[in-house]
Amino acid sequence: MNTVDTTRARRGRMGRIGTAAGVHAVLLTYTLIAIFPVVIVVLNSFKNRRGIFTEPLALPTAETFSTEGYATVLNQGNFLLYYGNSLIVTIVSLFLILLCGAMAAHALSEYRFKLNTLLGVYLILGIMVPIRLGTVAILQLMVDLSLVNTLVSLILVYTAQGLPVAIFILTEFMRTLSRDIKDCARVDGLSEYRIFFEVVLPLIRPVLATVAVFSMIPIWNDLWFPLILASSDATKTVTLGVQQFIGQYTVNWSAVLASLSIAILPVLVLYAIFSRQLISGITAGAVKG
Amino acid sequence: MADLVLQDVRKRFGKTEVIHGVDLEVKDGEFVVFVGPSGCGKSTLLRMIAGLEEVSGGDVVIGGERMNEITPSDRGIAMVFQSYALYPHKDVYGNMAFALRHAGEDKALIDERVRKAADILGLEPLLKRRPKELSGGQRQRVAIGRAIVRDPAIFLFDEPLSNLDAALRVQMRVEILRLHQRLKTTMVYVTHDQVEAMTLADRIVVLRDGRIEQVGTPLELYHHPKNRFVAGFIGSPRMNFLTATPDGQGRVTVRDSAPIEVPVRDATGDALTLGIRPEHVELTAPGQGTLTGEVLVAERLGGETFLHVDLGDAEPLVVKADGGVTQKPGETVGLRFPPAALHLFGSEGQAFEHRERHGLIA
Ligand SMILES: Nc1ncnc2c1ncn2[C@@H]1O[C@H](COP(=O)(O)OP(=O)(O)OP(=O)(O)O)[C@@H](O)[C@H]1O
Ligand SMILES: [Mg+2]
Repeated sequence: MNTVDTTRARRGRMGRIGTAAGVHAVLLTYTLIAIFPVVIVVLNSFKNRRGIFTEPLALPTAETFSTEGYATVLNQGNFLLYYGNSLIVTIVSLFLILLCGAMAAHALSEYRFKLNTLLGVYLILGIMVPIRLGTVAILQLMVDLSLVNTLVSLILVYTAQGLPVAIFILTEFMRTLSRDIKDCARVDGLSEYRIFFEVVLPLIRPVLATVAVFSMIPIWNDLWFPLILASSDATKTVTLGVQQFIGQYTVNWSAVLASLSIAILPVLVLYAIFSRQLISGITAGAVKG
Repeated sequence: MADLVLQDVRKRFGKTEVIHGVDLEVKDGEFVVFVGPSGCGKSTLLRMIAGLEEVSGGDVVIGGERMNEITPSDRGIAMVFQSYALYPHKDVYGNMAFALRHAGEDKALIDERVRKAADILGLEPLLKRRPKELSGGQRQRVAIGRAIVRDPAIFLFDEPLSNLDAALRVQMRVEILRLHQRLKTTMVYVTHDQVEAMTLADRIVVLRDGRIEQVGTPLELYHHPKNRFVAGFIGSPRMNFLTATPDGQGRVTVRDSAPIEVPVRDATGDALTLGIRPEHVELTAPGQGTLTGEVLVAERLGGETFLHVDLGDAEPLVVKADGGVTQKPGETVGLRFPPAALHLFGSEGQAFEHRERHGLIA
């Protein structure tokens, strides 16, 4: 009896360790695959042209080490401007997505009104329709509004692109918020706006962080809309700016890789800041939704 | 301080009506408890008094003023919720001061009120803590403190103690009672809990399916329920119901019993129900008393024992006996029904009025 129990227990423990090892092996493999290109880009950005081509996978050696890529990028005065453009577009779009998305989600989850469900479906329909399908119409619209070659055009498009997912995630989460706390604020005499800003927003912070990261990356990385709507020199974004180093006949690889490395930075910083909230946001959704 | 009047209050959600015309008068300073089965509309009624739910028909009048269109914060009420509903990002002090700060009250006044409420509830050492650093009982105390700070004319409670464990519930119940004695404010309190209702209430309102079944003092409901529903709902374990047949001479027989004289007025009809509470049934030797049956289960709680006695009906009759009774499952016992403790119900469930009121009820 006793021995049977212990063997079973031991087998159980071994099994659990085995499962954990298996899971981690899969995760590690995935991490390696995901990180590999990033590492290659960053490594090669510190090499000279010859180093990049002779041994793309090697670490920079004394012979091949060079920061000429970064020098080119930073001395080419425009790059900082492009970087600024990207930052402005991304931050303003994110702000609008989060603000409008949270407000819409609050209305959908909090108030009973006619067509509530229909409006909800309408607002999140965009998840299924890629916004690029509407490029021609968007371009026409921007031309009519004389917004071509302005950052505003990009901000508007990205806000529209990010809203459906944001509204979807936030609505689901807000439905799980306690009704009592909002009612309590009403009894305390807060207006509906102040209930949103002072009671609801602090409660959804972790989910807002998740939505922010998810929405930011496609905006930061987008090449399509900057190319079509804002390709003038004053409004170029980083992804577009990188293209100047890619000529028809020659490509300045050191510069391309250096600018890409710099472009990755904000995303990394954002992850570092939000990773904890991000994880709690994702699991909150997973457990409750 | 204010009285509260509900006049034919109705509530519809879409097309379904869930409150079907409730009339109620709550006197100034009175402690009224709403009880009823789940889904009967207790919370909805309370939320309508608070102004959190629109009134579909009828009037809510507080302190003589019609309140139907007045916002919650202007009704002079404060509400305590089941889930505490504390603001998680504010400390205890901030939670309690929030409404007053929002109303633009003077800082010194806010501080004085918060400290006084904290003193009443023993919260001073916790003022700087966040809600998540508090136990359930402490959180509920903060929620009550937040209500006290607003100095309302009426307190509304929606099952405030149901998230607490049994021991804390007893403690908080006493605290709420003392709070009422001290503040003498009108209070409306929703609960599922028999004991809370009986011990706290000046008057209990029994609701079923959006209608008031009976309003009365706890003892009135216990001794003189108006119908079978109230009789079964008040008291724990619930009242035993037995099918009774009138013998044509003002008495009834139950199963094979001798005719029983029930001291009620004008009992008519032939599908009658006899009711007796478990604590009123007396045990006798088999063959003596009103009925005889076999013990199915004996639940021994130490101080008292619940005997489930099979009389041949679908449901056994429950007897609340002394903790020292020796009867075991399988044994036969005699049951005696003292006439004064009997209730008789007609075919519609209506109770026939007792000839004499119980001694404790004026
Ligand atoms: N927002 C709503 N929309 C539709 N129906 C509702 C809504 N709120 C409550 N109801 C219905 O109204 C009835 C009364 O609900 P209420 O919450 O008042 O019951 P309760 O007596 O408080 O129950 P419990 O004891 O479980 O808290 C229920 O049948 C419920 O389904
Ligand atoms: Mg309720």
